[in-house]
Parts: sequence; structure tokens; C-alpha cells
Amino acid sequence: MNNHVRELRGAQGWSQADLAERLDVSRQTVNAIETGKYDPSLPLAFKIARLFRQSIETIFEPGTES
Amino acid sequence: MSEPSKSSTAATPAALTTKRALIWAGSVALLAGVACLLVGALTEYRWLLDAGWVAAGIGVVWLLCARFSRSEPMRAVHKRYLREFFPAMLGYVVLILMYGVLVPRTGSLAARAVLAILPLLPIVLLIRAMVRVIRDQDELERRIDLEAIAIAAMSTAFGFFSFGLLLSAGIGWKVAPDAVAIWVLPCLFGTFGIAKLFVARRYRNP
Repeated sequence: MNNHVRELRGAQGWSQADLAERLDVSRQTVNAIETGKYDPSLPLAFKIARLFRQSIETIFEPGTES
Repeated sequence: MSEPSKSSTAATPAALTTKRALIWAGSVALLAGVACLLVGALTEYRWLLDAGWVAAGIGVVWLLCARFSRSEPMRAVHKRYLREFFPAMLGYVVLILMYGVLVPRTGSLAARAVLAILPLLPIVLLIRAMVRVIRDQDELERRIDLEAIAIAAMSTAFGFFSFGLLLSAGIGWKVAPDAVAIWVLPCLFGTFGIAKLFVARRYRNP
């Protein structure tokens, strides 16, 4: 799955640690999501979408294998 | 939009990091292990030799894990785990030492049985601490821990089973049955630490 979390975070001027704190997850988790190594659960995806005030499908897109 | 609280990941020079915690814990375990080995070699308490190797082995694994850990402030859930883990582990070590010192001097079978069973009490607290940290950490941390626990449990269980087959095949090694039982737990913890290093690398940048 591809996502725009890194761009959205950058637009807010937040570091990975800042975003991790806002989502109550570890910085490692934010990094893994941004690099596409880990796809978040639906509750975490909703939390990310709510934080950036966008819909889930705007932030997350199916990858080529889907 | 609300600002995040400053308590959980605010980086200060004195902030507790995973790397720092592992270095402290590993150093203490290694020093305790060396002390046990010295006392065991110089006194009648020969069982301290086994305890010393176990503690030193755990210390080396923790120091190895620290080598590959990142210096990031520890999250509140993991600080709570340490606050719950170390007193329980200290209680376990004290009760094990009591067992080793008192059992040879105790004639009563019932008293020896009680001394053998007592260390299980802090283990209940340890299990509680581990379940709470797995339940409360974030979803990726939980996935990494559970994958590492699965690898450690299966490789330790089948490793010891294969070791038992080797012994029964008569390859010539002589191993005391109680030594085999004592080494199961350190092998499980050690394998978990090493497995976690490799599993966590899958989710990091190349």
C-alpha cells in the first residue's frame, strides 16, 4: 500500500517523533508506515486521517500488487 | 489541534532510552554473573556457577541488543514495564538465592518444597508485566514482539528436543538433567532478544 503520510507530515512541519507522539505510537512505527514497510490497522489509519483532516483513501492508496 | 504532551517522548540529555536501559541492565547482569562465578568457584556453593553463567549470558545478550538499539526516549508504556519487571525479577533472584542457601540446611521435605515453589510468586508478577506491555504498546511493536516470541518459543522448544535426541543417540556428551532444565529459560530469553533484533530490522530503513 502507498501513502502520503510523509508529505502530509512535512507540510505540517512535524518530525517523525512529533507525529508519533500525536498518534501515541513509536517513532519506529511512523517510519515503517512512511516507508511502506508496515500497513497500519484500520483504527490507526482512521487516527492518521482524522489528524490530517483527510479521508483514509486520500492518504492511503492500494499498491500495485492489490 | 492539541499539542502532544511533553511527558512521553520529550528528548532531554538525561532521558531514559532503550539503549541506556539495556546497557545498565546488561552491565548489572554481567557483573552479577561474574560475581556468582567467583563466589561459586571459591566456596561450597557450586550451584552459583550455573547461576553465574545464566546471569552473565543474559547480560551479554542485553549488551548485544543495546549495540543495535537506537538512542530514542523510552515510551511511557516501556518505562512502566521496567518499573514492574525489575522488582519482580529482583524478588525472583532473592528467592532463588534463598533456595540455594537454605535447601542444603533444611531437613524437612515440606520446607524444601516450599522453598522450591516460592520463586513462582514473583513470576506471576513478571507474567502480568509482560502481558500488560504487549497489550499496551503500539501495533507494530506488538507485532515485532509476538513474531520474536514465536521464533524464540519454537526454536528453543525444538532446539532442546533435538538436543535431547542427540543425547539419547549416545553421542558421548554427559549433561546433568537439572542443568538442561536450568538452561531452558536463559535460552528462551536469549533467542527472543536475538530474534527481536532481526524481526525489527525488517521494518527499518535499509
